[in-house]
Amino acid sequence: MYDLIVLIILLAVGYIFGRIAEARHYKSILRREQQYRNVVAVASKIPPIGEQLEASILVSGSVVISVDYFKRFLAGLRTLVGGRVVAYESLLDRARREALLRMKKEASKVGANKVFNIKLETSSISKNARGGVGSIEVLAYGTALAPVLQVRL
Amino acid sequence: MDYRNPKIPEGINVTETHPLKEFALLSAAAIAGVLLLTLLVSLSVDWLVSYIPFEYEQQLVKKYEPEMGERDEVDAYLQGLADKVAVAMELPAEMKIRIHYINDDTVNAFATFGGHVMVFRGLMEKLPSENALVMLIGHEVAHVKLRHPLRAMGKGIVLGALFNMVLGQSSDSLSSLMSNTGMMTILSFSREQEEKADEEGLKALWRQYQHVAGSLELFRVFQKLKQEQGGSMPSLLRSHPQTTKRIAHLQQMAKMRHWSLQGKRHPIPASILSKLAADKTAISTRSKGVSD
Repeated sequence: MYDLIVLIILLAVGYIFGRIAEARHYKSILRREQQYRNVVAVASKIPPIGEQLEASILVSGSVVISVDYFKRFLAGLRTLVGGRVVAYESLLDRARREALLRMKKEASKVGANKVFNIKLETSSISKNARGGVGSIEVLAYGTALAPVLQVRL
Repeated sequence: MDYRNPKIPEGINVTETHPLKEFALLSAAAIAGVLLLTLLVSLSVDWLVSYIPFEYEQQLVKKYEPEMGERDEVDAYLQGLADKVAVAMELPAEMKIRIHYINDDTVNAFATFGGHVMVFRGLMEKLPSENALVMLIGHEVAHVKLRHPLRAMGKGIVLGALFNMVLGQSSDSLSSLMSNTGMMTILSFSREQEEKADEEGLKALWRQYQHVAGSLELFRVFQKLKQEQGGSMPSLLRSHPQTTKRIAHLQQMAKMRHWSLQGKRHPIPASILSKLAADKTAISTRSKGVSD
């Protein structure tokens, strides 16, 4: 019976801290997305034609976010009935945006204002290890293009 | 060429649902599922049990019988009482009760497969009269009559296997929720069984003595024991109903059927009581010898 009480406590802890962390993270993401709006991220492989004197530099940004106990439990319940795993949607949304932001930060550090050929990779860190709370990694990378004279390495 | 990143509206990648709402909905569905499953299994096991001959139960425990010890005068005395109860309860001919006295301080008694009933010395020496003992035996024999051990095991095995199958891949926390729900449901069946056994036990007592005096004394023993040990569990987590509820239930039943709660109580024979006392000293000196 005590495991049920422990479960409820763990769920409450997971929910409260998870919610606080998520709210804070979104706030920071929104602020920084505004900050790096001048760095344009483009999925296209082909660099802009006609612009001269550009240096290309690989930039990347990666982030690892842990799922909280509550989210994992919710996702576990979802596996019984199927449907959208709403609990993980915001988690991955945050991770993708954070990874892109870190990449843009790096690009802006080297003086670039465009990143081409952007790729996103996602992996789960703990896979399906039993009892382990899963974490996800999102890696964003691309080719930053900067006027040669401005490159600061 | 001009490249721009438009401002993407917020929330397009996240479904707008409150996590607690989703939690409530999904847990309710999971719990309802477990309840339904347990109920279904329970009903089918109850239905199947009537097709399992009592003989199978006896065969199941046959190999353990030599381990049940030699039979002494207390066994014989209890067996005599149980045989009378069996007659009063109109047990089918093939349902033989075999009662065993266990020299142990545990305050308990239980019925198991194949009509075997175990009574611990700890409980026997606390009973104030033979009537209370007959009530106890009646309760346990009723478990045998109603095939409760088989039902409980059948449900336990089938549900255990099902939960393992369903929850094999999901997380530990989830299986804890589900198995706890299942367990509570099984406990509620168990409480139902105890109530039925109480009723049958009371009936047997009345048939034997034409009054039901002493029936409540059995439960007073448990009440007193609980007071001494302290601590109590919520009803939902008990395998037996609350003792006060059991007493009230039996009082009500006696009143409805006009069975008198007053009457002549028979004492437990002195020879048996002295044997119990001798067994107690024997066991306590033995355990002292070990601890020294």
